[in-house]
Amino acid sequence: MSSALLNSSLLQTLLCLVLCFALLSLLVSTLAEIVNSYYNERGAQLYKIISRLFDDNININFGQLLYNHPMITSLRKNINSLPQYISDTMFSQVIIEIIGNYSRNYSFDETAGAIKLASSNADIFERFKEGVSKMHYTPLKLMLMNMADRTESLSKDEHDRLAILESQIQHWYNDQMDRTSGWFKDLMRKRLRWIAFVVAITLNVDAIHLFSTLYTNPALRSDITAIAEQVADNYEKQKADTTITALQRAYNAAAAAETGKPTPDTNVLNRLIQKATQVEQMKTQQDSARLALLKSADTTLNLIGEINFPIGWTKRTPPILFFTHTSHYSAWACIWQVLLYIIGLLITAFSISVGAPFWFDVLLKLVNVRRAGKKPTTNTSN
Amino acid sequence: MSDHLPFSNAHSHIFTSQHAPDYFLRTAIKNDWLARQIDKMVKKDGTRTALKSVDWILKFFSPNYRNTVRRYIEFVQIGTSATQEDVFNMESRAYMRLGDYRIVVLTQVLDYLDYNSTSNHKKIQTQVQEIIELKRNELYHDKLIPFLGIDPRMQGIDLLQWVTSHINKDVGFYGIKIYPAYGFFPFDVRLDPVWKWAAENDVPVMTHATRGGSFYLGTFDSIMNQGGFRIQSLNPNSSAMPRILNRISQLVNESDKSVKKNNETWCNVFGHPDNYIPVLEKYPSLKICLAHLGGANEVKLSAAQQLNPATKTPYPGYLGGNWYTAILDLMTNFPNVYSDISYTLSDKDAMNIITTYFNNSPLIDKLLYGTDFYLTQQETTGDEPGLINIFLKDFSEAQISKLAYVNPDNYLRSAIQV
Repeated sequence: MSSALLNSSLLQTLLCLVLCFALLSLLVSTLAEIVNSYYNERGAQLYKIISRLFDDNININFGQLLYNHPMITSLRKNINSLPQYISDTMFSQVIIEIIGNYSRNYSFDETAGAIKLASSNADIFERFKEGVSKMHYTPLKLMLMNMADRTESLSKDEHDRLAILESQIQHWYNDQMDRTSGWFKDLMRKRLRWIAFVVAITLNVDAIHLFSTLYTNPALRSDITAIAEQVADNYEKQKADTTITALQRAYNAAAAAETGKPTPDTNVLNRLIQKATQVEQMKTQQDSARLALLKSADTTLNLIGEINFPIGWTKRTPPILFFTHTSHYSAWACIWQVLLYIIGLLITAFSISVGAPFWFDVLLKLVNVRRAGKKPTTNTSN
Repeated sequence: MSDHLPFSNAHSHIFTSQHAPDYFLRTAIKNDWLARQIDKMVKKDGTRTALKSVDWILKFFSPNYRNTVRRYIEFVQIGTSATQEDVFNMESRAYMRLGDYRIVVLTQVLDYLDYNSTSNHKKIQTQVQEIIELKRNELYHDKLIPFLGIDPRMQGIDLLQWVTSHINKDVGFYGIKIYPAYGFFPFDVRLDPVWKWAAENDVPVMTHATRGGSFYLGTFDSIMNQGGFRIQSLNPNSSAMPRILNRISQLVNESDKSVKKNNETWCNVFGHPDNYIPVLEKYPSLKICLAHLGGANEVKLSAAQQLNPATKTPYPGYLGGNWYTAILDLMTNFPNVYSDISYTLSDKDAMNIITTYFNNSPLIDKLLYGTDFYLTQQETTGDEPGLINIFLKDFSEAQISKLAYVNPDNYLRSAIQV
């Protein structure tokens, strides 16, 4: 590759553009995490899946009753939250217990004036079988009956039978959980797209305008390229740390960047996030993770504000630019400009929805490519 | 006599938002997607924190409005509690200071609120099982008086078997709860064996009897089958059936779309007090409580119409007729028809009319104290301690003795639960 190409305006422009996308996608990913933690999607989804396992519309939903069991209630972060994770061992133990309890007999004790537990089968496996036999006949009942039959055909020993039954329920549960993880990824992908679109509009990031401005402004390009290299270097250092997530690496790389400019305080979204941070601080002890995410979003926004990207709702950027431009456009030119603006927003939204780690990796590669073509700096002191 | 009896609240709910369909907020918000999203949001801690911040800010700017916001926050907090036990504990705390007490807890079938929507909520079987476990808990066994929710549309369930297997001493349920505004008639032929059994055993029934509250949320056509609606009455020869059928037919042929498309209005047809006449004519000894005395609006409208007979109702003629007076007529004509002051208790003007009327009425022996906890939480004086306070202040000692001690004892006593 020729040195001219590697140091060309085009490559520099691309580098600046990738930095912008990297920072914006970092913001998008962080906002998505904030939304996730707010909705407790994992906990809600786990509840939904466990509910569906036992939902045959006629029997008691043992999956929902599981959430009233002391072993599960102790996993709740607070009285109203749902546990984000239930191990297969705990699930199988609690379900066997709940279905077994369903078979227990109770009777009214006239002397005590209360309902008392009558004698029940002492064998947990047998109790489970009796509980299943009390259910209305549905495919769910048949499946649980078959589990019990299979267990009995494998062993007659009381302890072995329980372990085999637990193992069968665990397999069933784990198969369902695999599907949940796929569903969760799909949900996240969709959510990232929506958040990316909102961010692109809120910060008014028109990729086409961004590209053309950077391409025609060498001074701006030069400033941003220096920051891009710095962020890429930070990211390379962070990559050595395998104990943190890819998103955290990207965040650390961005947070360590020095722009040498004061933090602007003109961004409305920035101020809103600061206010939200204050609200979150009121309950720091309850949810420090969400507070950390808000701070990450705040830092990323600050950095985007410090770098003089041609974005935002200013007179220099579309669509306000269309109204302040001195030359007159024809009607078709106006339509064309608006169309370009919309396409620019869509390109941005799509690009920043692919995830921060992707753009940080691209940034690192571009910086390395650019450096490969640079002449080594002459060391005058030698 | 009341000295030996516990103070009884005959009407309360402890089911939570988990027991209501995901689309339940369509009661207030028409758009299904928006209702489901708000349902998800109100269950989040972040929303509660945000509401509390609003509450704090309003302290400085609008203390009056703050009270309203605070009531809604409390309503949301109770409604989104994790368990029915949490809600029962909240209610119990208001009664501990009154000495021995017991609370009727009404389970409710919320599973058929829209035939065309699906939901992942806790169905009636699970809701009831949770109550069974609470009743077994020695902490609550003598305080909690559960009623069993039934609906003739319950699939795969033998209604009589459902009722008899729960309403007995070993399981602990005392009575039956129905809510016709969700889309069925109390004279539905499928309910016949249940009413027969309840009448024979003196088992109490509780039913919702106001024009407001929650109601069927699906389309008119989904429940009225585009007018091809088939009525199977358990008592086709009842004196009330012609006017009931006339009311249904007028609704089916209603040309005013604002009436036909308004679920709250046309659900009046399902919950109308007239609909109990075919049942009561067949089983005159059936012990049934038509709750809320028809609702505060009907009570006030009745008083206004007495002063000025030309006072109009906000309903078409065939949906008109005052529910308060209709319930009083039923209480007069049938020996075991009761009513309660739940929810209506939160309306000061309505309570003035009620206390005046019942001062001189023998029907006082068939009126029960109840609050409709926690659904009243949205009202100005709707919190439980506030309602207890109103009740103790507005009624005389003799009336309190009847409404909260003697009458509930008569109402709850059956051949099964002595």
